[in-house]
Amino acid sequence: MRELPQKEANLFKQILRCYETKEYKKGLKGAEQILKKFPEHGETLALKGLFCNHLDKKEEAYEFVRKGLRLDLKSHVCWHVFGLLHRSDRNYEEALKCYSQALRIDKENLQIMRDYSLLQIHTRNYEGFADTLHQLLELKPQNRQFWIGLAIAYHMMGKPDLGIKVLAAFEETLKDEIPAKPDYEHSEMLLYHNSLIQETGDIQAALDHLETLEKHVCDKKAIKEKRAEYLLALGRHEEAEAAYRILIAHNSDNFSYFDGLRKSVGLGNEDLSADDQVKVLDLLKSLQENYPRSNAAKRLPLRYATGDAFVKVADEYLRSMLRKGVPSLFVNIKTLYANNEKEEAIEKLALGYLAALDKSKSFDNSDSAVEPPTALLWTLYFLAQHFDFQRKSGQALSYINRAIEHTPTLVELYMTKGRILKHAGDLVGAMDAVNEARELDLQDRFINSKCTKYMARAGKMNEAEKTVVLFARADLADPLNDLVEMQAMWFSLECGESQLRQGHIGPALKRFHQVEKHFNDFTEDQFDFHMYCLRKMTLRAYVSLLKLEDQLRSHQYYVRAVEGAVRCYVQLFDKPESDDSEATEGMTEAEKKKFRNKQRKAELKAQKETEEKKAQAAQEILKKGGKVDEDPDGLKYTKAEDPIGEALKLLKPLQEQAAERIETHLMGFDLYIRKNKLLLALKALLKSHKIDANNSVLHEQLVRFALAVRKAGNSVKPAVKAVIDKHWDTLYQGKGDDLASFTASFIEKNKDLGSVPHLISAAIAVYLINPDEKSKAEDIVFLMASDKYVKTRSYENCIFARKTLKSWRSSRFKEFSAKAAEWYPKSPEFRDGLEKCRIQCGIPGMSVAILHKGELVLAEGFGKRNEKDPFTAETLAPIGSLTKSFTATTIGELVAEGKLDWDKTPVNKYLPEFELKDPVLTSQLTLVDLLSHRTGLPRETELSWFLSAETRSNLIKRLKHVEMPSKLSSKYLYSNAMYAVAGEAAANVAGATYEEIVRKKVIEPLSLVNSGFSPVEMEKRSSNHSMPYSAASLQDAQNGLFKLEDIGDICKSMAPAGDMFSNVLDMVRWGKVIMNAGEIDGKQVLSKENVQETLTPHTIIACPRRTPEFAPALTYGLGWDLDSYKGHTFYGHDGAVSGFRSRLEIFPDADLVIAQLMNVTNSELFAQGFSRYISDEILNLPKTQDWIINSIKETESRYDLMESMTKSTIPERIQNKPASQELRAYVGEYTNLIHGDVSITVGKDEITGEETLFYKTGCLDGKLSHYHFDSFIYEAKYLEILSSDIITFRGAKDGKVESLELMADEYKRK
Amino acid sequence: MTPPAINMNSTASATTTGDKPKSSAFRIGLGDITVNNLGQIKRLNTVLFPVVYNSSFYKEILEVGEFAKIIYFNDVCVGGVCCRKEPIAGDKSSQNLYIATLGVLAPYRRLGLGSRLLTHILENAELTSSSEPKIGKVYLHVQKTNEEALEFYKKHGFQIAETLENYYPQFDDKDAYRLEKVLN
Repeated sequence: MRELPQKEANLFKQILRCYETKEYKKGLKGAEQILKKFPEHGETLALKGLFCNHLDKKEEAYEFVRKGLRLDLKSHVCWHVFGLLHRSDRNYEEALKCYSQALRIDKENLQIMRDYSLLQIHTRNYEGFADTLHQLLELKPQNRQFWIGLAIAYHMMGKPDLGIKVLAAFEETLKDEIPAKPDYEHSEMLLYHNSLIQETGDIQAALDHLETLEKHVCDKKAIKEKRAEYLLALGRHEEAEAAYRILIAHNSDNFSYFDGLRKSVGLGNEDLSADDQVKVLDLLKSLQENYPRSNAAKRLPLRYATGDAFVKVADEYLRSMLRKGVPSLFVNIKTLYANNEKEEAIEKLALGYLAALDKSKSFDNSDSAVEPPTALLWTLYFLAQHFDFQRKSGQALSYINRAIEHTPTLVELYMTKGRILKHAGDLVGAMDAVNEARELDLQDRFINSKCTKYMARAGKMNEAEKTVVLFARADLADPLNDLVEMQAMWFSLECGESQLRQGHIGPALKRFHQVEKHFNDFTEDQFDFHMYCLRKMTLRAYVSLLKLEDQLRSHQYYVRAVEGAVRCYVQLFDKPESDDSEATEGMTEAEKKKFRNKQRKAELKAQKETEEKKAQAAQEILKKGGKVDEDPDGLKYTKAEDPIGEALKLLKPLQEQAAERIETHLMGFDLYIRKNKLLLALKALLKSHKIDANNSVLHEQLVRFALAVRKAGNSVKPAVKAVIDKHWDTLYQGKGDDLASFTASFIEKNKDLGSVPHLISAAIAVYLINPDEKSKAEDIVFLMASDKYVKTRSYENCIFARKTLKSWRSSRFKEFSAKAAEWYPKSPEFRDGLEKCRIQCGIPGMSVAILHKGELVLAEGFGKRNEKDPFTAETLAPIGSLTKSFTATTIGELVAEGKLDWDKTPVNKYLPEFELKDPVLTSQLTLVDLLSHRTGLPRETELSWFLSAETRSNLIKRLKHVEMPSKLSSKYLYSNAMYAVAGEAAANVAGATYEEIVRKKVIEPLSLVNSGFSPVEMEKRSSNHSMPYSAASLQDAQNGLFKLEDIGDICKSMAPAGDMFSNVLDMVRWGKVIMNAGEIDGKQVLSKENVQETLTPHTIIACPRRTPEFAPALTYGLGWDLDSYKGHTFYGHDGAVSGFRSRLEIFPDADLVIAQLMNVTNSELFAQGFSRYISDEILNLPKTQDWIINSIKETESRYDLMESMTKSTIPERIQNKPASQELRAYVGEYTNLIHGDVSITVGKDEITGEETLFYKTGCLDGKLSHYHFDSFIYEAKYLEILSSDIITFRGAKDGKVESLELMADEYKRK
Repeated sequence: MTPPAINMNSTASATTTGDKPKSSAFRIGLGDITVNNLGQIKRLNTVLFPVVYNSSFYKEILEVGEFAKIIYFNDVCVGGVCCRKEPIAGDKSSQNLYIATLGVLAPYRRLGLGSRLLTHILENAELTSSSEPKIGKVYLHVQKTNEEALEFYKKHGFQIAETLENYYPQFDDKDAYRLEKVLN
C-alpha cells in the first residue's frame, strides 16, 4: 500500500517539498488530492496532519497523523512526522521517542538523525548528542557541521580536551585547503578552538596556539585581547603592559583594558597603599594626557583616589561634566557612594558649585571662568538626584523645582521629579510629573513607557493602557494585545502587579502567566540556532547562548512574574475575608448590612457597565479582524483546583536556575507549608539558611515551621521526624523548643542593625508564637518610629506594617496610620486630610508648603486658583503684610553696612520730609519704633493710603497734621503707614527705590525667583497666579458660592508694608533663611546679628486670656510675631490684601517652616487653624482641640460681625428728605490736611442717563447716590478697605456748601 | 480668533556684558517645530508671554515651515520664534510675515540667541519660492514701554510703523508699537 503509482508518487514528492518551503496550504491540497484516490495512504495522511498543524488545526493534525501511523506503522516518514508534531508542541520526550523509532526503521536517514540530534542538544542530552554525531560522522566524514557539533558536545560535557582533539583532527583534514585570506567561518572556528584550550587551564598552550592564528583570523581585536589576557595570567608583565597599551590606543574607553594595564604594572590590588594610589593616579594622568578624549581615563581616578586626592580629581571631573551637560553624570557617579567619604565630598563640591554659580556664574567665584547657563541647570539636576538617592525627598524636590524654574523645557527634569515623588510615596504626583515629561517629547518611546509604568504604579490602568498604545501600531485591531505579541514583558509585569495591588487576582495571574509563556517561547526560539550556529560557525556566540539559555529563568522578569503569581495563588488558597473592615468600622450590624447591600448593588452596576463596555470593545476588535480574548479576567487561573500546585510549577525553574537567590526558597517554603509538605518546607528553609541565616523573612518562616511541626505532633511520620530532628539545632540554635527565646535572641542580635524588615518579622513572630502577646508585638512594630530606623523605612514597608497590624485587629492601627502619614505626608492620606479641611472651610484655592528637618515634606496646591485652573505649589499670590519681614530684614542689611542704625538716629535724619506735629517726637522716633508698631499713629490715618495713586513722599508729608500722643510709649498699635515711612527712609539713604533695595539685598541673593513687588508685576510674571474671591457668608463659601474679585493695586503707596507677591515654595525658603539666621545652602547670605534683631521682642501685643497652648504674652519683633505653641517657639506673620491671605510660621527648635496661601477673604482664622493642625501632625503634639472646627465656628461669627459693622456705620435712611440744593451746588474741590483731596463732579449716569454726582479721592472714585438730606451714599469697590458709606455735605442749608464729611473726617472746600 | 501677539522680549540687547561664557563652551542650533515637540514651544510661550495661545495658533505654526523654530543651547531647548504668513487683500504677488512670538528663557539671554532666531526669520523671508507670493515686509507688535525689545528690533532694521493705543487692554502698559521691516 505504501507504493504509490507514478503520478501520485511525484505528487507526494512535491508535497514533501511544499513542507520544506513552508507552502502549507498548497501541500494540504496536494495531500488531499492523493487521498482522494488512496484514502488509506498512511504517509500522506501523516503529512496532511502536519500541514493541518501548521494551519492551526491542532486537533485534526493529531487525528490525521495518528491515523496515518496506524495504517503504516513501519513507515519512518510517519514516525518522523509524529515526532515533528510532538516537537512543535514542545513535547520533547515523546518527540525523541518517535525519532528513535523512525531511526530504528531507517537507520541511516540523515534527515531524521539530524533532527534527532537537534532535539538532543535542545534537551541538553549532550551524551546522546555526541553519539548521534559520531554516527553522522561515520556516514559523512566530510561534513564540517558534524565535526564542530561533536566538539561542542564534548565542550558542554565539560571535556574541552576531547573537544580540542576533535577540532584538531578536523583541522588536519583541512590542511590543504586553508583559505589564503582570513575567512570568517574558518576564523571563528580557530578562535573557538583557542577558547577551548584556555578552558583546559593551560594558558601557555593557549598563548602558543594564539600566536599561530593571527593571519587566519578576522577578529583581530579578539586576538589582541586574548594575548594581553594570557600574558597577564602567565605573569609576563612587561609584555602584558605593552599589549594593554596597544589595546588602549585602539579604544581608550574600555575600562577592562585600563584594568589590565593596572594589573600588569603591578598595581592590581583593590586596596591600594598610599604609594600605590599615587602611582595609579600618575599612570592614569599620563593616559589622560595621551588620550584627552577618553572618558575612562578621567573617570577611573575617582575610583582609586581617596581623601584630598579624591576631592581634587572629583572636582575636575564634575566640573567638566557639568560644563558639558552630561545628563547621565549622577548615574555614573553614584557607584562611588558605596564610600561615605566620597559621597560627602561630592555633596560638598556640588553645593559649592551651586553657591558660586548663583553668585558669579562660575564654579568657584573666579572672575575668569564664566560658565554657560546650562552649568547651573545641570548642577541643580545633579543635586536633586543626589538628595533623592539619599532619600531626602524634600531637598531633592526643592532642587528639581529650581531647575524646572530655570529651564522648564528640559524633559529629564520632569522624569527626575517623578522619581523623587515616587520615592516620597506620592505615586499620583510622580505620574503627573512624568506625564509632563512625555508631553514635552511625544516621540520618545522610553519616556512613554516610563510614563505608562508610573500610571500603572499609581493604579491608573486605563491611563496606562491609553498611553502605552500610543506607540503600538495604529493599524492593529487590538493594539494592547500587540504588546503581548511583541513580548513587552515589562508591561505585562506592571499590569499584573497593579492588578494584584488592587486585589484583582484573575487579571493579575493572566499577566504573570503571559510572562511565563514568553520565557517558554525564548527557550523554544533557541531551537533555530542549533542548526544555524553550527552551519554559520558563530561558535563562541553559540556557546554563550547555550549557557544563557540554561539559566534564562533566573532573569529578574521571570523572578518578578513568579513572585507575583505566587502571591496570587497563595491568596487564592488562603481565601482572605473581604476587605471592608476599615470602611465599616464603628458601624452597628444593621448599618453594616445596609452598607454591604449598597456596596453590592454598586458592584453589580459597575460590573454590568464594564461588561457592556467589554462587549462593545470586542465587537470593535472583531470588526477590524482581530481575535477576541475569551477569558479577559483570567477566570481559568482563579478557578484552579490546586493553586499551590500551579504556583509550584512556576517556581520549579527558579529552583533549578536561580537556586542562589534566597527568594526562590522563601517562596518555596510559603508554598510547601501550605501543602503540609514538611520535608520540602524544611529543605527550603535549609537552603535559605545557607544563603543568609539572618534573613528577616526566614526568621518568621522558621517560627511558622516550628509551630507547624508542633501542631502536627505525632502525625508526623517517624522517618520525617528524624530528618527534621537532624537539622533542628542548626536551624534554631538549640532554641527550637523555646521559640520565644529564639525570637528574643533574633531581636537582640539585630537591635543595632536598624532594619525595618527585621523588626516587622520579629513582631510577626512574637504574635505567631503567642497571640496574647499582641501588645508586645505592637510595641516592636512601633519601634520603627525611632530615628535608628529612618534609613530602612520605606513607603512599601510602612504599608506592609499597616496591613500586618490590621490583620491582628490591632487597636493601635489608627495610631500607626497617623504615624505613617507623618513620615509620608505626601501620601494620599495627609493630602486628603488637608483637602478635606479646605472644602470644610470653604476656601476656593490654597497652597501649603511644609519644610521639616530640611525636607520639603509637602508642597502642594489644593482647589482652584481661578475659574478653571488648579492652585499649585508654584501659584503666585500677593502676600500682603508678610512683606514687613522683608522690609525689616532689608533695613537690617543696611544696618550691617553701617548706612542705618536701628535705634540711635531719628528717622527724620534719614528722611527729612518725615515730620510729626510734635517736633520732640519727630526728633525721637527711630527705625525700631516704626518697625515694632509703637509710634502710636492712629490707624485711620492710613485709610486714604490704600489704593492711593499719590507718591509715598506726598503721603508722608501729610503726617505732620495728624494728632498723636506726644510721648513715646511701648504700646503696640499696628501701622502700615509707619512701615512705608521706614522703607522710604531706607530707600532715601541707599539712593535707590525701596523695591530696588529689597530686590538687591534680599530677593536676589536668596534666589527667591518667585517673589516680587506689585500685583501688576505678578500678573505679568506668570499666568500661574491666583485670583481673589469673596463670599457673602460662610455658608455660601462652604457651598462654593464665590464672587470673583479684581486684583487691586492696593498697596503701591505702602509697598514696604504689604505690596509683595510670592508662592509657598519661596515662602518656605524665606522661612528657612530666617530660621537659620541668614544662612542658606551653606552660605551666610544675610547679616546674622541683624536677622536676630528682627526676632527679638520689642513690643508686647496686648491680647488678654490666651489659651494655654500659646506663650503667655505675644510679642512683636521687627516684621514678625513672636510666640510659642505647646512649648515650641515660633515666629510668624499673617498677610492679607484684596481677598488674598498668606501665613508663614517658623519653628526654629523643631526645624519646621509652614507656608500657606489662600485666595478668599475672611480666611485669617483658617490660616491660623491650618498652621495649628499641621504643626500638631508634623511635630506629633498632643491634640488639645479641633483647630479646623473651631476656626470654622469663629469665622462664622466674623462674617456676622462684618455684616453688622457695615450696617452700623450707616445711619438709618429717612424717607422723603430730598437734597436741599441742586446737584451743581455740591460740585467742587474739598481737602483734608491728612487725607488729601476729594473732588465732586456732576455727570450723566451711564445706565439711567440722569444727572448724578461723582466723587474722586486719592484712591477711590465712583458714583454718589442720594441718601437723605445732604447725604450721599457710595460703594467702594475693593474689599477689606472700605465698604459702603455716606458722604455728608455741610453748610448746604445756608445755600453755601463749605465742606463735606467722609468717615468722620472733614474736608474743606478749597 | 488668535489672541493678540506679543513680543515681550526677552532677547538680547545691544549691551555687551563682561560675564558672557566663552563661546567655545556652548553649542547653538536651530530646530524644527513638529507635532512631537510642540509641547516644548507651548511650555516656552507659557513661561515667556502673558498671553495664552489657543490650539489653532499651535496648529498654524506647524504649517509655516522655516518660520517657526526653536533654538537649542547646549542641546537644551531654550527659546523659539513663531510667525504666520498673512496674505494681503487684493495683492496676489506678495504677502506679509507676522512675528507672533519671539523669546528666550531668562537665564539664556544676552547670548545672541534672539538675534540668531530673528536673523533666521529674516533670511528665510528674503528667499523667494516660485510657488508662493514673496514676502514684502516682516512686522510685529511690541509694548511701547519695552525698550529692550525696541532696541533689539531696531538693531535688526525694524522701524516703528504705527502706535496702537490700548492694543493690550489686559495689561498695564496697554499701548503698543507696530514695528516693521520692508524687504527688498
